[in-house]
Amino acid sequence: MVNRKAKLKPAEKATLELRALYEQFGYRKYKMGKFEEYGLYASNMDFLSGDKVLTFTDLDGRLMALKPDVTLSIIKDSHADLQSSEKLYYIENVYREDREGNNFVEIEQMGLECLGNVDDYCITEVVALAVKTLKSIDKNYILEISHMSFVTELLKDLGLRYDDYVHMLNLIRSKNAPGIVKVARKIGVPEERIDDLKEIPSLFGPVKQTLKRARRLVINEEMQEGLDQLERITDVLKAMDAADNVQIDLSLVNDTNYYNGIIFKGYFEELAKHVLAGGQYDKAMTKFGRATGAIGFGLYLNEVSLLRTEEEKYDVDALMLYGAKEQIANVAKAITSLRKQGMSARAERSRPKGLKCRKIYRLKDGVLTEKK
Amino acid sequence: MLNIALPKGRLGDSVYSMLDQAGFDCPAYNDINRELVIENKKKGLRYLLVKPGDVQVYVEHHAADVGIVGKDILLETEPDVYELLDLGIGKCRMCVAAPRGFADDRSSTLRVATKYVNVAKHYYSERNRDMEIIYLRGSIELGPITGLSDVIVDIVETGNTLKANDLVVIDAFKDISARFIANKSSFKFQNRIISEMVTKLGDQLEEGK
Repeated sequence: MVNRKAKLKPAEKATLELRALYEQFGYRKYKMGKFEEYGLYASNMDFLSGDKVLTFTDLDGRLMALKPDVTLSIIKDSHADLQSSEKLYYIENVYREDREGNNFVEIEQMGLECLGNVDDYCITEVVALAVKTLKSIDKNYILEISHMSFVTELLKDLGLRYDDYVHMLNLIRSKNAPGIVKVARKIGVPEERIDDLKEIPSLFGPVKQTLKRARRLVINEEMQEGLDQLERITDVLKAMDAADNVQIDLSLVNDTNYYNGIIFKGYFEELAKHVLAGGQYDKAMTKFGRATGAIGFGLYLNEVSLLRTEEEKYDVDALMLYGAKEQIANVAKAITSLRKQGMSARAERSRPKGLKCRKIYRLKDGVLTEKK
Repeated sequence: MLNIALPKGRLGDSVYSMLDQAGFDCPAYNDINRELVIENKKKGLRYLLVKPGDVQVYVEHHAADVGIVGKDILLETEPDVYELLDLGIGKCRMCVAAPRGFADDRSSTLRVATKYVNVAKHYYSERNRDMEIIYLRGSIELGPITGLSDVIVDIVETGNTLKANDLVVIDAFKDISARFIANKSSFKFQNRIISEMVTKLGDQLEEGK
């Protein structure tokens, strides 16, 4: 009998396996401080998934924040340029608002970033790693990919006010075709363009088919190039053993001030929300005065930990009870012998409350007997 | 198995008859007593009968794959779900109402009674109006009558309740109706059946026009 190994939770297992995977592709582990100056987030609110930041005043009077996000810190601290790129991954806690509970929560996040000269290969590699990430955790996954320029170019020359633009993006994100039509009519978008816009929510599904349908809506070179790039990248995923369960969904669109190019989200069948999100954020780099590209993704380990696992029937195989007068050498010997039989064994003077054990042993004067 | 969150009550009944007609029937619905869950095992459907304001919670958290919920509740709670159809039933309007003859005094803070806290906040912040929310769970019309508030923000269907309490609509700012929503993950993994549902319900709406 083999001694049992520590039972890892899905999130713990993922962290171990994924570190190995990322390092195989030459990504280096990146550790950062817990705090960041609040100003960084105040001036980049749209990049964050919520607008609440947990702040405190440091002893020197500076307003600090517990990180709500990791990527901004990585961009800020990055030395990457077009000649020298950085490939790194991290496992960090971030602090965000939980809307329903109306409090802050700690979220464990693992992520990977590539900054510098981001070319098509680089993008493909990151997308492939996102797929492999999902696959290594649970085989019932879907990774959906989109290209920012598809929606932004369709909306560009419609002369939308900023409010209407943001509203329209939200309608597209929630696949609200009736809402898109209603708002577009109110703003005075020409009917033939409304027909295009209301198609966006249904542009999802298998890669080849969806791209073919999407091509009918192309109105300029940027959109054309966006779809071509999606095609080039998804074509190569197969060679990287990462083409399974990859779909297109062109209604996926991130914040337009920070993201551009390829973006993606990962889902597990068992879970309510996306567990992985990422994309190209060259525009965010530009905001920080970096003339380079960047792409990355984050994996929400707190969501992963919601995956069902086989419940442990017992906390321990054997509980061994011993009396006050027992020689400790005997206790040590008895525990070792139980462990040698392949059992996990716990020595106690009396039975702890709520402990689930398979067998109970009693040790008296060095003699071990099983209690029936 | 597809889980459908249906609001209990009149709206739920109308929606169920649409789903029934579309072939997503569950015979147990017609002689329902106190059950909260009914199933049609053969068709792989399970209906959850929930409080109207909770439908989006079930859907967002994946306890239900799809659901039917009023737009008023979606505006108030902003769940992260797909909003796939406007079912065109349960129609009403989100309104600001006040006692007849009310004139807004911009030199003081406006007191607003409502159960739609976020909707009201959003409405007034867009207009840069200083205001104070008074949260009520029901009988909002009592707000101005008792002097608890200056105006109310609420949904208005026929306007009869307002009239009976001598209130008038000042601004009807949003059309409300029942919406068909889906969990984002379910929409991907159970796309075939959800899309079929959307198409068939959509066809019924077209015919009804």
